[in-house]
Amino acid sequence: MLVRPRRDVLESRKSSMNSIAEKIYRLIRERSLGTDLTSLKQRGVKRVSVFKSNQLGSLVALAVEQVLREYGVKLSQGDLDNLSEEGRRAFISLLKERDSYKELCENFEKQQEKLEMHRDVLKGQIEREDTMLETERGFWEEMPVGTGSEAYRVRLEEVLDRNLESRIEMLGASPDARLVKFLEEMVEGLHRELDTLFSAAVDEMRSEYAAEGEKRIETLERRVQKMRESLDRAEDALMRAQAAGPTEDGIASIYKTVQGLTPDDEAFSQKKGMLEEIFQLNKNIKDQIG
Amino acid sequence: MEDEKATAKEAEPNTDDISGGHGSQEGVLYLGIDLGTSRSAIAASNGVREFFASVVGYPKDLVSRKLLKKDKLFGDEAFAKRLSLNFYRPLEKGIIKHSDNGATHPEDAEANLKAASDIIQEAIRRSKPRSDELVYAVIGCPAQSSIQNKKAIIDAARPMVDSVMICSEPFAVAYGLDRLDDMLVIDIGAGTVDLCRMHGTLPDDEDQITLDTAGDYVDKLLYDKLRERCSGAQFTLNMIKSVKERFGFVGEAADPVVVEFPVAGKPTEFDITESVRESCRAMVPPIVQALGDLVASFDPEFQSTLKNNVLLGGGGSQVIGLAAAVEREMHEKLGEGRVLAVDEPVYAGASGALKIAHDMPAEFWEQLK
Ligand SMILES: Nc1ncnc2c1ncn2[C@@H]1O[C@H](COP(=O)(O)OP(=O)(O)OP(=O)(O)O)[C@@H](O)[C@H]1O
Repeated sequence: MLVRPRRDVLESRKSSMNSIAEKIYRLIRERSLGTDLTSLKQRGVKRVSVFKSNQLGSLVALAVEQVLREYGVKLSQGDLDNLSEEGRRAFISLLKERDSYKELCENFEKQQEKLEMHRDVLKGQIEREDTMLETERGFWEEMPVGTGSEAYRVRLEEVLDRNLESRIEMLGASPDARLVKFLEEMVEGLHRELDTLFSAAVDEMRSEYAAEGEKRIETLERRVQKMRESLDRAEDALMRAQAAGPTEDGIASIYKTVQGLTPDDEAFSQKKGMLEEIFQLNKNIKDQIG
Repeated sequence: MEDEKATAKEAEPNTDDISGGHGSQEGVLYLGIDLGTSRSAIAASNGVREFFASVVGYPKDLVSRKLLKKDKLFGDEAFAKRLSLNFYRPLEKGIIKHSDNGATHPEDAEANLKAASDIIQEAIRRSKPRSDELVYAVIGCPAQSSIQNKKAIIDAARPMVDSVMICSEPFAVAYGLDRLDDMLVIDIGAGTVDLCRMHGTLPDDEDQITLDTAGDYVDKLLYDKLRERCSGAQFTLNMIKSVKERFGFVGEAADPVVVEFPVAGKPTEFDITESVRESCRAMVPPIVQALGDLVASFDPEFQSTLKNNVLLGGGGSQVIGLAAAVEREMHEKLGEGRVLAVDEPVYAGASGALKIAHDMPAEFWEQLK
């Protein structure tokens, strides 16, 4: 017949079980190796031994049994079964957690890819718009405003000059010098008038074109600016997503409740005193911070 | 944390489903953090253990930010990209730079404080806490740090945890290894060697000695020796630090230490065995001298026990043969001595802090919320 331990003894054992669990957890963690198929292949590994989850379950049960024996804890078969069952459930829930973590990582990678694509599309668009803007600027700057009218003006001037020459010829071999001078002055005046008229017309045309060009360029520039802002936002989002990582929800602690020193701890009262002192020092600092 | 979550929602296209979800669940996550001058380590009750160099960099301008795709870079990543970053190593000799003289250097104090806060928050972030868990953290910091410094550390951690405490770093190491009585802990870091006497209560000022003959000191010594002995060789202090971390030893050399340094652009081999041995060995005498001082001022009845219970930890304790060398020197100078090197020097402080967090009674955490 088994003698049942007292409730407080059970409680304290429970907490030492926590540290046993922590030890087992640490051991498994330290000794397990994370790798992937590609790197295994690269190392030329073709076969690996794997544990099935039920094998691992029985290994954990065995380890727990052994540790309990070492600690001199005697439990009934029923308690042992319960403990193993609890362990198995905890293990399965860990596996589930790992799966959902994997899923989370995959989701995160997909999101990141999406964000990267979005950013690349924006970059492409901006590049295209930039080229268009450059072409447009060039077009408006080198617009051949007035080139045609300049030729026309030259032709008119030639006509005037030729007219003047034929009029002078018509005046005979020794024309009246005053008349010739008058004709020449008149044609010169006409030249000047023509110049003024033509340049006024060209200026007017130019400013009309310029206004239109400016409007077009302004629109294009605004568009590019908007895209750049979008790109900035996309890059910020990507940066934040990368910084947050897939672990935003973290890795669960092995403790579900607050722990603390228990009376069965080695050097309980000595440690208790020291912990109290640490607390007091921190309390003093907190009081000073206010 | 709240902010991060809020901003993630603004993303285009919709990033709401990034967070996935495990359903509602409760738990308590304990964190132990060792905030070191050269590197910070974290151990958590969800199994996460990580360390990274205690450096942070912020992109210098918009172009760098776009290229680096991050607002803050930590550890090795920050080292690698340091040219495009405003780069900070905010801890010096274990304390936040200018945290004690903020009034005279207000801008530097603020920048370093921010950098240190970011490092603490990064350490917590790397522990991957879940949003539905209580997070209780113990941060180990140098025994000699001032009240301002401690406040700054607590302020940095507070937004990310439910309750936080700090404790002396060497004490955390001893607590983690259940060695609380009559023993001496030596923690060899980058900036300082901290020696601490444990005698069953929390150590106070008289129980601690800090030396500056630590990792950085050895690096400088080795650098100077090689400058003198390897003529024409080109190297930086950082390269020398890596050489020390790879080959550092005292006592008998298992193999000669041969390294390649460029000479006029051409890789050239140098045998630096003696220089490495001498530089690493330089840590031993001051340590034994300080051990002697701590022993001499202790109850004579327990002095022998103390000498035979010396624990060697910290990144610098990884110099091969160091524990044996300290032990030999103790025999010579103090008549006896037994030195044990901790198994995991990088995590000894963080694991100890985690154990303190675990053991701390619930009502204490509550009162500090
Ligand atoms: N394998 C190694 N061999 C020798 N020294 C090493 C090795 N690895 C790290 N170190 C040295 O350990 C030192 C850092 O140790 P640690 O990480 O404990 O310091 P820290 O806690 O950041 O510094 P501190 O205690 O001064 O705040 C550095 O000087 C580093 O070069």
